[in-house]
Amino acid sequence: MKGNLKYAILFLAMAIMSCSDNGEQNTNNFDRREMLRNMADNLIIPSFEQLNQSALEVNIAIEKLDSELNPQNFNAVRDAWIKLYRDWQYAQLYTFGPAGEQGIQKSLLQEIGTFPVNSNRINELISLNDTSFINFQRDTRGLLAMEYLLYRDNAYELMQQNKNSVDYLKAVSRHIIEKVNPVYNEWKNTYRTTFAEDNSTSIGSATSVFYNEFVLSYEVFKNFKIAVPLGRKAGQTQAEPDLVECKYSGLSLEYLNDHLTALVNIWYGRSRAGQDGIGWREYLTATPGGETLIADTEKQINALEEVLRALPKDKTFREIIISDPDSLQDLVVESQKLTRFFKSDLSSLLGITITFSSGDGD
Amino acid sequence: MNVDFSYHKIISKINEGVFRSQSITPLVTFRILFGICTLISTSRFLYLGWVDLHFIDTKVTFKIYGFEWVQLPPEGWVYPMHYLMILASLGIIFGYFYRFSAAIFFLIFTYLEFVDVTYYLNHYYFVSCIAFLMIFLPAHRYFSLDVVQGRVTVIESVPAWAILPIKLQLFFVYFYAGMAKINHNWLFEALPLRIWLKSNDYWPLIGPFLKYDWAAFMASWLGMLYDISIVLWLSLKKTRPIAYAAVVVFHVMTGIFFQIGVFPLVMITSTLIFFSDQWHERVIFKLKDMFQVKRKTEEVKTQLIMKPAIKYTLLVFVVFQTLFPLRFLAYPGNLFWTEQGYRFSWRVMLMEKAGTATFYVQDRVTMREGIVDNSDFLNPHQEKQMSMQPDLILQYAHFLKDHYARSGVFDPKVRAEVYVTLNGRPSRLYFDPGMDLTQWKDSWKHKFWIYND
Repeated sequence: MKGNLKYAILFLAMAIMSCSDNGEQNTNNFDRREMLRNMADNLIIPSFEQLNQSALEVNIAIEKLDSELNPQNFNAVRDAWIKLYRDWQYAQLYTFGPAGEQGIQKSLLQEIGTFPVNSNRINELISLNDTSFINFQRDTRGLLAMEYLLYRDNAYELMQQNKNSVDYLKAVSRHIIEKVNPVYNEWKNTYRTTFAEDNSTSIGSATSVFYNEFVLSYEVFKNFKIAVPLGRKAGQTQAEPDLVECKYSGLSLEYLNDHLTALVNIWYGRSRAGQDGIGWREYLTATPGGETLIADTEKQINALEEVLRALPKDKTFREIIISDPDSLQDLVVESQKLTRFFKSDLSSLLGITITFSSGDGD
Repeated sequence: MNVDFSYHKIISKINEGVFRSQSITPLVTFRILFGICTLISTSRFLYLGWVDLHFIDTKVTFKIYGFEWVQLPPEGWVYPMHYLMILASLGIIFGYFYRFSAAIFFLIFTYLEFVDVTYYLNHYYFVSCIAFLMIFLPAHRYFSLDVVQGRVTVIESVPAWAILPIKLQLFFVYFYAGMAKINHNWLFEALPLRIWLKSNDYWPLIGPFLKYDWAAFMASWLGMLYDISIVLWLSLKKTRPIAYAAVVVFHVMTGIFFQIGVFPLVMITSTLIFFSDQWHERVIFKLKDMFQVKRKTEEVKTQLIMKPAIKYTLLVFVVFQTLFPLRFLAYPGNLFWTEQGYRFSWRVMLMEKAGTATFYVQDRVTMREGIVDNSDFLNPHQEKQMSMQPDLILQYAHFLKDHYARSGVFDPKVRAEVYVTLNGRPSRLYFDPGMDLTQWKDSWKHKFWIYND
């Protein structure tokens, strides 16, 4: 009797569910592993490969400069750095796995991407000819210490005057290679499979970690690269143009664009060369309610890209902040608006666990 | 069947249910298993490094309304407190200074639970409730070191009401959890299970089915029916074996699918309390044989005498457990959206909710307004929880006001743009982003400034 009742209720449940079809019946089989494979093979590994390659090229250029200090060799190093830092924009989003924190080693982003650099301390170290880097002063090395050495006022003359600064440059370059090379190798050799074959969505899974880093990178883009130099962070009393990402080379805006492109590429699952693949977008397409979020997100991505495009081309980001900060208001607003789509709507709709006690607990 | 619904019959039934004499062994098994659960839970907490995360590397702590005075323990105390909980768990298992152990465990556990509400979990609350009950129940009067060492006399039988509170507590958990599932989204949209099960499609065997909507609907309905009725099936002798099998299957599955820690273990062990006296006696006798404790054969004459204070404490507790989860009825609006009366009510895994909260702090003299980087103050878990719960949003706003006032912002105005998504819907503004949040103080009153769902 009770058994019959149970079956009756079950049947009722089935009946109800079949009438509640709201046109979003979805049995699409989305294989997260295909997305992760695309990310690994077409976005992440090529980015680290490129980064590794460019780091080696910078090093070659620096050795040439070391053997013969002339303006031509100096400019060659600068050019190599410009390329290296561009490649960095496409690799910095993947600070997990081999590029994540391991013991006392911080993430690759902190190890080689720290800004602003501490120019006084760098000069001190140069005068002491101390290139050991046995300390935790990550703002004295990395890609932006390199920028400082290459682009500070009278950079070339200072190098001529004090050979120590070439040594320092060499050491910074070597340090970058030491940090980047193992990451690239590990991705290429072992981590690719670990990452791409992890189909889980729980905490610590490839999808979850990848998603978290994606969101974190967007926060870096929005907070550290835009809000802070504009003086728009709470507690700041004025704009701080010296806190732009690339103060010395004046290339902040270019790299800001690259950073956004790299983020948007993940959204589309697009390689840097523009080859489209499986990304968050495709994952959402296979999820009920995903179409709305895709439309909303892409509308906002376009709005943000539009704002960036509209900024003056003949001035550096730092110069715009100094001369016409009001013109950057839209950049703050539009970058802010995109946050929620990436940060809560996406993970919520896809059911990705982002912290240990996710959801409303139990 | 001849059912007599006469008043006297009912009263006498209740009398029998509450006062009839029964074996103490269910309580003893429960004591041992509960102690093992708290031991595992505490050790796991230490092992996972959550002690540092929750109680040491923390800049802001969020409070339960009315418990703002509960502060973080001094850093040096945090670990010793956890070690003490481990000792207390052992004390509970072995019935060694049992009441004292239960009290110590209850106090420390509940205190740490109240330090930061962002870590609130219903199963922590359940553990607190049970630990509280354990202080008053005579679970150490048999097969315990307290008996062996002569601190208390042994008793073999107790009135049913000495075990009833635990059964009632389990009933409250399941029944209210089931009632909370009776809503449109859960039953007729299969939300949030439709989202959650799909993201679990990678599990072997069962995974391939989870991508289908019917799986989510089935799980939703079965979950609701299970929660509402499981205590009944466990109570009836005939259905007990199959009901307990259902308990195991249900909790193992939810344990696999969701990040709910030791909760499945706690429930699977706790529900054994519904098993018969004979079953528990067999278990305890086996244990006695294992530990080579002599089975007592002489008649035990000691009768359990319950102090009135304890009786009334238990009664008040039960009344509280009955009424407190219903307080949401006093608030207008969608409970899931406003969360007024949500906590401490056994609302378990009911919704997929997330928010993005951007706070702005303005100096009222210079009128300069800045954006807060939440990660400066909160860890990801705290930020996630704060971003969708109005009382926590309010607390954080007050924290920001104080913090920035100290750092030189004049009479800060704190506003927030909060977007909340519920069950995968596009996120919506939670309240007026222009409003100065610090004008509101938290209270039991309805937060009318929250936009309607």
